[in-house]
Order: sequence, then structure tokens, then C-alpha cells
Amino acid sequence: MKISIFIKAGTALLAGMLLAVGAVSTASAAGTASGTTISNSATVGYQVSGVSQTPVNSNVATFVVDTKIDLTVATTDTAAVNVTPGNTAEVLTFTVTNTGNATQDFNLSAIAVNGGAAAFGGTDNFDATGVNVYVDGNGNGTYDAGTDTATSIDNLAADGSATVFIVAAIPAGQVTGDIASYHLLAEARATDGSALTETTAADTAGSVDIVFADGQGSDTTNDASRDAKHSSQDDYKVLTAALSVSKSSAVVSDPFNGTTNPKRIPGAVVEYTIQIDNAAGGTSATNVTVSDDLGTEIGNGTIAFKTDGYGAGLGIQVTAPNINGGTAQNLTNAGDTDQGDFGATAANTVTVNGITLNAGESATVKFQVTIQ
Amino acid sequence: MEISKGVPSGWRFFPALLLLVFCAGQAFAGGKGMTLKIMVEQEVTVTNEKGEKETRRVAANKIVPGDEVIYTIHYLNSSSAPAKGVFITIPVAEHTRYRNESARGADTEITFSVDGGKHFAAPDHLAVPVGNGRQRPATAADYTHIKWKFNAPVPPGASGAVSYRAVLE
Repeated sequence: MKISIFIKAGTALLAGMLLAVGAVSTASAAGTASGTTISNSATVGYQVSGVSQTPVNSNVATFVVDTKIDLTVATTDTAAVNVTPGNTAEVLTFTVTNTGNATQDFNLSAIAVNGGAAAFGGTDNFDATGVNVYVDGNGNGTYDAGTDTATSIDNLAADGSATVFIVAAIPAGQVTGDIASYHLLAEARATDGSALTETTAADTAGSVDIVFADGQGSDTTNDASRDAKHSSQDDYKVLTAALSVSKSSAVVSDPFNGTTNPKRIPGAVVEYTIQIDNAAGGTSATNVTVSDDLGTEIGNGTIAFKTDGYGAGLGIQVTAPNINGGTAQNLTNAGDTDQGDFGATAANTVTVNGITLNAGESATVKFQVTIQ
Repeated sequence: MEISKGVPSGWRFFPALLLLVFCAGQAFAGGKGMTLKIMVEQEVTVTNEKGEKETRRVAANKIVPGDEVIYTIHYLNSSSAPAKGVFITIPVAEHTRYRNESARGADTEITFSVDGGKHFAAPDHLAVPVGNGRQRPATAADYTHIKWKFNAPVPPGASGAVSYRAVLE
């Protein structure tokens, strides 16, 4: 408020009303902008001997709004981010919000949790590699390699927020349930990128002081309250397919006993069953390929592949949830459009591909040989 | 005003009266009647010599959004006549919000305005329009002005203070 609006008693109230209405519209969540001068003055009205005197104004009391440094870092992931071993750009997502009252820069860093509690349950037990922090430069909320390249936030206005990504590679060999947990640590900086210093108690009236008003975030080692820093924790959690394979054999028939208690003698037909299991608790395995190289046995004359084990030209049988509705499917020996072949993909080798196994599912591949 | 003093005779009385009234009016209008001085402070917690924490008021030098300031308005009747019907008004400064129940003033009736100072009333008699002719009860955040109406005249030479607190938005 300016004192001048109260010089004329007749206009004072109207002017005061207009300014008061204006005040409502300029308030924001982050508060009054740093550097704003707040002025106010009082007026006294009175009478002497029944005669109203011209209202008298006080001096103008002013103070300058100082710079409030405050920020909030929060992950937008609502659960640990499932990652696949070997992927090179797995992403944790955060927002950094300037809750102070002045434009600031923000430095960003990813702090690896070292064996401590993860953000979404469990315990950190490995570190990702090639860890980088990038700002969502195009503001689409998704990490875009090559586009989102800034590693610090430049000139984030009061009340403004930016999306920030931790991008890292997950080492091959990590298994389902492994957790790599990270803090994103943001530090408010001056708009030229230099470090901020909180103004100590001895300050100058009318100057714009700096007050740190932030709380403590997740990284209690590197982030205290009122230190111009804030942090939030998020987790990579490995979710992969754990496939196991087993092979068994059974004698189908021999030339003398037929199918009744057949023995493994020359001329006998033996059926091999290869079972593939995807362990429960992991993720789907797609395009699983099973191959069994019979080259050695065929080469030394021990066995011969039975080309019509499941019908004329059908030497292979696959049973998988995604093939033929889960019912056993007989496959040709030829290298054609079905899921299997013998000798086409690789010499003397049974090859079946295109199997999809969700966690907890199994598939079998069967073929028959004749003992020589 | 004590206009009879120093007036020796009847034939001089009438012009003297006019003169005194005229002078008095000029004097007060010129700032020698009631005067106001306002200051804005903040409370800080400091550790004193005994190692105890105590709250002190200092000039409002370090204020960020959410902080509270205290406005104190000192008044002084510097004239030789009592001031009657005294009222002090102050707007709630832009970017600040009146802190509920913070206004103080001995022997005064404190009222508030939510319409830019056009009308003043006690808090439970204030309402703000919400459209369609409806109203809701006013809250401290709605106050635009504060008024202290003195219940008694302020004698010559007397001084005092009224105050209120506000929060920086």
C-alpha cells in the first residue's frame, strides 16, 4: 500500500479497496516474490470540539521480501521400476519443484543407496552402471535419449517444476528381485549456477536476504533441512525370466516287444522330451528357441532322427501355451512357416522357436529317434 | 478546548473565540494534533546470556513467505485539546494476510472490513459474496482493513499503541 492513497480522505477508501482486490490475485503458492517491497501506513480520524479533523496519516512502514529457498524432489514412480538385465537405458522419474519465491537453478545428482532399505520395499543389493541424470528438456514426461540432455535445471521459476530422469544400465546377470536404489538429490543454486549462501543473522534492513526453508528429503546423508537441498528415493527392481530346461527320454517301441515293455535295443524308437520352465515371479520370456544338436550321435551311427514320429513328415511335436491354444502341435521337418524344423536351421539339429512363456508356464518339445 | 481561559472581557470574547477555533483547526490539520507512527517488526528466537531461548522483536529485515510480521501503530495527541471520536484505520498490506485474532488496542472497539474499508463490523458480522447473491462468513484472510475505534477521548499529551499481526503470503 502506498501512503499517497490516504492523502485525500474522500478518495482514500476507494483506492484502498482497489489495491486490496489486486493483492488477492497476485498471491501464489510459492509466495510473494523475492524483492517485493511491502508498504503500509495507518490513518487516524478524530474530532476536536465536535469538529472533524482532516485524517492524519502515519509514516510508511516497509520491509523487503527476502529470497526463500525451498524445493521439493519427489519420484513420480509409484512402485519400483521393473528392469531387464542388459538394458542400457532404464529410467527412474522424479519431479523437482521450486517452492521458493524466486527463480533458481538446480544442480542434480544421483546418489546410489549402498545396501540400505529400498524406497518400495526390499533392500538395495546392486548398483546400476553408467548412471546419468537428465532433465526432461521437451517436457513430455518421458526420457528421450539425445533430446533430454541437460544435466541441471536452468532458471526454474517460483512454483515451477521440472521432470528429471535417472538413466542407467542394468548389468547382465542380475536376477529377478535384485534392487538398485537411488536418491535424486537436487540443490538450489543462484541463476548463474553459483552456490547459494544463507544470510546470517546480521543483515541489513531493506536488503534481499536469503533464507533456506527446505526440509530434509530421503537422502539423510547428503540432505539436511534448511540446506537448499532436497531428495527423493526410487528403485530399479530386476524382473526377468528364469528359464530352465530338462531333457528326458522314454522308449516307445522295439522291434520285438512292440509297445509293450519295449527295450532300448537296436531298432527301438525312443522319444525325447525337452521341457522348458519359466520360473514363477519373473517376467515373460518371448521368442524362446529350443535346439537340440544330434550331430554327434547321428555322425557316429548311434541314432537316426525319426522323420515321421507324429505323422508323415511330422517329426517334431511342441506343446506351448501360445501355440495351438496350448494343445500339442505337430511340426514338419522342413524349414517352413511352422515353428520347427529338423536339419534346416542347423544340420542334424531339432530347432523349435516362437515359444512364449509367462512366469510359471512350461513348454515341451518332443521328437523321436531310432536306435541304430 | 478550554476557550474561556485568558479571555478577560466580554467584548473581546467573540473574536477571540473565532480566532482560537481557527487556530486549533489549522494546528491539527498541520500535524500537531494527533500523530501516528507505524513500525513493522518480526519476532526472532535468540539465546540470551543465560543460555535461555527468548523471543525478541526486531525490525522486519528477514521475511520470507509464511513469516509473520507485527505492525504497531503508536499514536500521540500532541495538542492541548482532547481528541474525541478517535479511530485508527489501516489496510491489510498487499501480499499479507491478517492473522486471526491478532489485533490489539486497549479500550478500543476493533472492527474489520472485507470491502476495502467501506464498511466495518465485528468478525461475526462480516460476510463475503460468493456469487448468485449468496454469501459466506468472512475469515481473517478476507479482511482488507482494520479499525480501532477509541471508547474514550485521547487527552492532550497522551500516547499509546495499537497493533496487529500479518503473515506474508
